[in-house]
Amino acid sequence: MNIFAKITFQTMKQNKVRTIVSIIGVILATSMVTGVLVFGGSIQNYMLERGKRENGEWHLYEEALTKEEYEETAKYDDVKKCVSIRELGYGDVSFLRQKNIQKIANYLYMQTMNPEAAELLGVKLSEGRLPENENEIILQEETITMTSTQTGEQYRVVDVGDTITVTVGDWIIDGEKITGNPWIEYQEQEDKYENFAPKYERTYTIVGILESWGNSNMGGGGMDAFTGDILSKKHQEEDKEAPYNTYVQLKNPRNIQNFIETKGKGTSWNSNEAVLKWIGASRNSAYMTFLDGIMQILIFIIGIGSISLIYNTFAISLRERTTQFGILSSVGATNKQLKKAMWYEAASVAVIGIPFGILAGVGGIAVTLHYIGPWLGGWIHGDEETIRLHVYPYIIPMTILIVFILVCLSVWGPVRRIRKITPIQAIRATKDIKIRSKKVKSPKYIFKLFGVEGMLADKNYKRDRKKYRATVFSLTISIILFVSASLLSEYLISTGAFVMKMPEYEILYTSRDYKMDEMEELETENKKIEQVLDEIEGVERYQEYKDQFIYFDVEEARIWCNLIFIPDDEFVKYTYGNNPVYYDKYVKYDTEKGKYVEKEFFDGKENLTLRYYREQVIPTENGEYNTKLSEEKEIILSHSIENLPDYLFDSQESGYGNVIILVPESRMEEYLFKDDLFNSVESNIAIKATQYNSVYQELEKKMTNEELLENGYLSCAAKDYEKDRGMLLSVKVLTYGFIVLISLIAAANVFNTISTNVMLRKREFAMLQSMGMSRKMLHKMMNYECLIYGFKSISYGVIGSLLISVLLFGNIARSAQIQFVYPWKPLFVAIIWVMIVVFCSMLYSIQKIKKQNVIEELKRE
Amino acid sequence: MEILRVENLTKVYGEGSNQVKALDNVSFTVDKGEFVAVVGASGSGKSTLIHLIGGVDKPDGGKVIVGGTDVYAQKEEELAIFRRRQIGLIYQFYNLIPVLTVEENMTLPVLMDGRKVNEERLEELLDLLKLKKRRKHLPNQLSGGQQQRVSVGRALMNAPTLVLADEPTGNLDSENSKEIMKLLRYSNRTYDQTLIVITHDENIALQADRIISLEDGRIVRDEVIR
Repeated sequence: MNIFAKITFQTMKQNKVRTIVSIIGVILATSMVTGVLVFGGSIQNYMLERGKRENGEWHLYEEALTKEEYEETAKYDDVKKCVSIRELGYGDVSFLRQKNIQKIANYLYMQTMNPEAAELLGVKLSEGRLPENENEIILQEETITMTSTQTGEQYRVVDVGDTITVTVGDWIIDGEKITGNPWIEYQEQEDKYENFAPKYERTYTIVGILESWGNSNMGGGGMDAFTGDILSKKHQEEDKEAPYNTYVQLKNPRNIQNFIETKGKGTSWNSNEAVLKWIGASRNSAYMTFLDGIMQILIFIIGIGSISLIYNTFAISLRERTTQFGILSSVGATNKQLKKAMWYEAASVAVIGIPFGILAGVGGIAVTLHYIGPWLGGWIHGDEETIRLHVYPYIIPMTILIVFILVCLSVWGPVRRIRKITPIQAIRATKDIKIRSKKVKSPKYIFKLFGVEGMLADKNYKRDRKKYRATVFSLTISIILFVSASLLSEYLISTGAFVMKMPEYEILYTSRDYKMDEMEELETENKKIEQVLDEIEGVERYQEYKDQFIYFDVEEARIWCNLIFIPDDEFVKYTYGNNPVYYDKYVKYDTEKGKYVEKEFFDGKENLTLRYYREQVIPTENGEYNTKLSEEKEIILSHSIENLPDYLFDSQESGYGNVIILVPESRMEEYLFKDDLFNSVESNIAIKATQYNSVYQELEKKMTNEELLENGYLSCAAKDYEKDRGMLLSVKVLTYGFIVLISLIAAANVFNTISTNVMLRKREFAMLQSMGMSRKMLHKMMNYECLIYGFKSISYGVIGSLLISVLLFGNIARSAQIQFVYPWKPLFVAIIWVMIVVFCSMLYSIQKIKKQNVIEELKRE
Repeated sequence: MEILRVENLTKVYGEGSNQVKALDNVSFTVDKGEFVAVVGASGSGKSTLIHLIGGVDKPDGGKVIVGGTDVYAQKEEELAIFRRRQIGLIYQFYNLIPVLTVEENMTLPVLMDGRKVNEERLEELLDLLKLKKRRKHLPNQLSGGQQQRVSVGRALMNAPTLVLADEPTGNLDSENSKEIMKLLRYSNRTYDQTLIVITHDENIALQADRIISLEDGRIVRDEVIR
């Protein structure tokens, strides 16, 4: 082994603590870089997989290609997969004409489908199977469903297994044949008209119901319908003009733009943005840019903290090895050889630290996603899909490269210093503790207040501030980051965008509308439900009430709210008086102002007269819809109330209207509409449970068995709360997890700096002791030095934290109504942490000094 | 034959009104095989002179020419190699590498050159320095005298042009001091090794061929004894 390598490794073995701290620094840095990349990659993969599931895996869509163009496209080297669906035209079906109330979108959009295309385009069926030949067809649910004008219930006009006859032809508007199923804003004009030019008639068997596919145009003129590939000669002849709408999956989707420019065909084209944006191949790369941006910022912050620690570690190593390097230089080592010795140390630390760091990073994110993955998925996309750990292959080499660069940057500074000192200076270490050319003055009040120990501590700090810069910087950064994380959580909660209050009554049963002449039936039904509730052990209590929604007009704007009829004894219990009262507090997203705004609708007015009505949309026999208005009624609202009874959900939680009006049940009929259509109420039973999840399941099962869900449904309000709480928890876990790691880096930094500074001043301490300074005085002096670092870090930390609070407030206040928060609580916690870290480091160092022999230290040159 | 020439060598410490001239235009020559003792009071510039000759410090003026080579006209790398091959430095406080054994400390200049150690030379030196039984020991397992012998061994390993010793017996008892001086004289006589020794000890100074006295950074006397 090279002699310099041997000297380095032996020295590292001798200074175990410092070596371990260096390795820990590299592990921390590596784990954080890995963590950020893996987390970002997992989110990216989640979004990508979601995009593929919902929109298929195609990249590029080219419309209306000829057969030759389609075949040519399929042969390109860039192309991984190429499928086509042919546009046969539009299909006129009798039941569809009957269904739609508007002049357009009365047709089927007739296309072919094959299994390969179905796979690439993400075709999902809710029922049945794909068509296997040209005599089979799949239709959308919306196409075959109609609403009964009498009962309002939905039913299918045709179903799987039925045969339909479709007239296939061209849809023409203003004399122009429409292709591609675009959305068209149609206005009927006298001489301009849309018409249908039939081509041929075909009979199809419905074999499946289409749920979704990757390029559906929901607003298009036709409803998607797919038949099998054209096989028979007769049909091939009839459809010979049918264009090939081609879908391409590229080998390298990042080349999509180049592909379009050089090989693009077709009348128009489109790209699958939902997938491409998460590969970073989108023209609108805002999403990936955003995710990349966040990851870069995080890695930058990690980099600053890590470089600070690792740089400090190698600077300390150099200081400790200065004498050694001086001796080696005097014996004939070149600067190059000495620099190599430093690089050996850097390489050893990196080789050990990086693999452990990668494992820790991946493991940490795996554990984190295990707990918060479901909530994060809900937060990002509102669905139940969990974000799972996904490690892209590029992450490991990228992490190694980033950390390697960090280590190189950290070593570079100390290595440069090697050439600046002569061998004899190095041996004597005379350049290390450098007295500044200006006098190092300590103010008189320091001496008066803190004695000679304080004065010495002050001078020690001032004589070489550079040494302590890294310490102060690390501590300040961790204070600011901790405070920022705390403030972020607090501001998010105060926006009101999250449901922060667990509803008192977690489960709700809601019935259908019951007319006044059905009240007896309703009471019977409710009694059965209450009997079931009484039998379930976990049900604490429940409360029934009735409601109906109404409208009133305010300055030509229609506001809807709830009339809630609660039992008279409840009315008395809440001392509302005898007359209707109202609750008008709510937080709503104001689209004009673009932020959440807290409002009181009537500003607490008393004896308020309100005129209200109801509106209903009714389908007519010819497939059109009419709106019917009820009569207008009047209600006098006595006063506003501060809180609703705990079994009612306020407007934010319930999504009800802006105002809730409470009426004693005995006066219900007084405020209901007379018209038969509107003379009804819904009955609700709010249920409080000990374990709402298990109670909900048991209740659902029992009510289904006893057919008590025929006229109503169960819902679980507590789930929304859990979802929002989970989201906030995820934010907290991520931010605080990150902060803890940064703080560990800072703590390691502080420990390293302080303990080594103390080591290098052993002779100085020996000299002070030899002159009569007691151990107690020595410890006092060290504690005062610690107070200086701590005080400086805290001062900068407080200023930085206040600035951050202002910045955060400024940003979030743009979209939500929030109060400015003074960060005193998190600052207090951060300050305590800083003091603990600094004092622990001092204690360790003092323990080391205690063991030293005064004479031995003084005898050293 | 002239082996060392010092011309107008100057070294200044401090700045402005705090400036101190440790060496003030010192000039002299030394022939090959000479044993020169440098004496003077504390602060006279003895150590500074020897460090400048050895290339371990930087002068503020003047030249040092060793074996025909202008020491400070060399680039950093050349200077390091010069120190490795041409100079053997012995310090008062030994300055051994704590993590290397006796053998490794002694052969350090050779190892830095990347050359193979001359085992015969090593055995000879270990024998001469009575360190054969301690060859695998670390410095903290040796007495002061033994450590200084290792330091002498390191200085002699490459048979350098100049051996420079800064108070080599300053930290030793009389017995060990005699032992060390005996070794240095031996190498001077047997290998025609040019030797420059800084000392406070008159007995040691009188063992030399020539005594140079320094006072306030200047040569005040340059006397050939034998």
